Amino acid sequence: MTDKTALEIEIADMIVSVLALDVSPGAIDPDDFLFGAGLGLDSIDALELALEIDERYGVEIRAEDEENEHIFRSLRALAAHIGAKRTK
Amino acid sequence: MNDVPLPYRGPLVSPGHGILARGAGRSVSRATFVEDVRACAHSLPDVAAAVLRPSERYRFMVELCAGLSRGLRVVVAGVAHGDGDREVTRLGGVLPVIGAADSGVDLAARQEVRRCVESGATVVKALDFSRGIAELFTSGSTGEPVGQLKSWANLAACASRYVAALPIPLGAGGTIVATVPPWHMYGLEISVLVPLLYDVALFDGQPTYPGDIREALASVPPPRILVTTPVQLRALVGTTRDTPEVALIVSAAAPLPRILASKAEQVLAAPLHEVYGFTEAGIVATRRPTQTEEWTLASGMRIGGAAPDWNLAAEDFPAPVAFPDLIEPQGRQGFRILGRSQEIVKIGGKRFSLSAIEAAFCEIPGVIDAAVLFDSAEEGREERPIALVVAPTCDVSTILDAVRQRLDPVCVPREVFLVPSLPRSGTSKLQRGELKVLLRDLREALS
Repeated sequence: MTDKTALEIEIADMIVSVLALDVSPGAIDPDDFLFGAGLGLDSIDALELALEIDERYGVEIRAEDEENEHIFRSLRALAAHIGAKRTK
Repeated sequence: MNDVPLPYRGPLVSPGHGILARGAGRSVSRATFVEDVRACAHSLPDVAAAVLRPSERYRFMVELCAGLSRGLRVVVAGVAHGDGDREVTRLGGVLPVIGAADSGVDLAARQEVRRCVESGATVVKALDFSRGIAELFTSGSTGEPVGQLKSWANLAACASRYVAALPIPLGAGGTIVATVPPWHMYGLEISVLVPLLYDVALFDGQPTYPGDIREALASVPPPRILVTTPVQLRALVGTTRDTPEVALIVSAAAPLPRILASKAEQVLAAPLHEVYGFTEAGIVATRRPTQTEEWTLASGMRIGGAAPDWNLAAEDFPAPVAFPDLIEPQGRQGFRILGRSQEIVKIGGKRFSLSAIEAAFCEIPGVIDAAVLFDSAEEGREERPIALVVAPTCDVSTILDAVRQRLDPVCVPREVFLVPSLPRSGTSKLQRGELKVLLRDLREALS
């Protein structure tokens, strides 16, 4: 597993606490899939995360955004998107 | 070509005015819609039944009506939440598919139709309204989706019940913006059939994230009717961003916590009405959760049977249908929901049987026994399943990996506990009441 950035660590903590996952944030591989295999998140989780991401970082997640599939692909992709778009 | 029967009544009798669909910067008139339906009907093969592929809401409506107008039995594939492709593949093996990539509305056909319409040669045939014409699939409580055959009389009655029970602004240039798919019963009724039969437009899209919903609402003129589910509503009103003015909020597919209903009415400054229904019956009852807990039956519905096996009858049903939840009738036209039936659970708007989820665990090599239960979640959050598994030789991650191959993602348990045995009675029936105690003990031991 590669090292995580500060933002990736913060977002891993957020994912685990918001979704009450039974994994340690440190155990999330930044390149692993968040949905399906990997962490096994689903569409309900995506909405919960979208809400939290907007509240914490002021970033609105869009499904119709062409990049959406990419954004939720992995912790690294999600952190990169939030890092680039955050307003708070 | 000229005598394609159309199963419409209402505004389509005078199809020369009115907007039927809005979205993506364009508006579709009812006149264009009729042309699109005829052109699509013209392109369909001469068969008795066909599978309707999930597609964008307007195209779905055109293809549905095209199939119906050709007298086909239209099989609506797509159980819920976008897993329709699997259904199309399953059913498409035996039936042709409407809306396959190459059978969209082609321009040549549309021009030919326009000539027919302009020459006044249109003949609209009457349909047998009681014949089964559309087959919808429930989420399926045994793992396999179960087909529900609908007559046009039934589908039209469903639409009329929505209009009678909810303050949907008609004839006011309004638009129904739905966050649910059109191939699910709730979405079909309110976002396809209501616009088809009454003077209100549909939004041709399916926004899911709060940002998309706000953008969709902003793209149509008021009055706007937001049709959604508790999970999406919670995300929409959870942020501090401004949402365009909404005239009515409609929620269905899962129980809506009262606290969320109040917040939504406050944040969106619009009345929120909740719909209770299921695929077998369509809309059954409505309520305004900020004002009452009691459900009011939709028009023409009667509760029959006896406690605890109440059923529901209506003139447009071929036979009474059983309630999937435990209810208690209140007066002549109302009822309360006492709880879910023991066996059936609802996750993310879909119904699953607990025993089917448990069976998926038991198929995994090394798993001897399994039980699935729900624990009261945080207010406003959907309850997620928790599994207690007897599997002395397996670890939790192996079990989860294996079960993910077998189950819809929303019913993959969030937590899996390995236990030495499960509480079963002498007849090997699972003692569900004791599972909660077992879970509490397991959690206490961990903390």
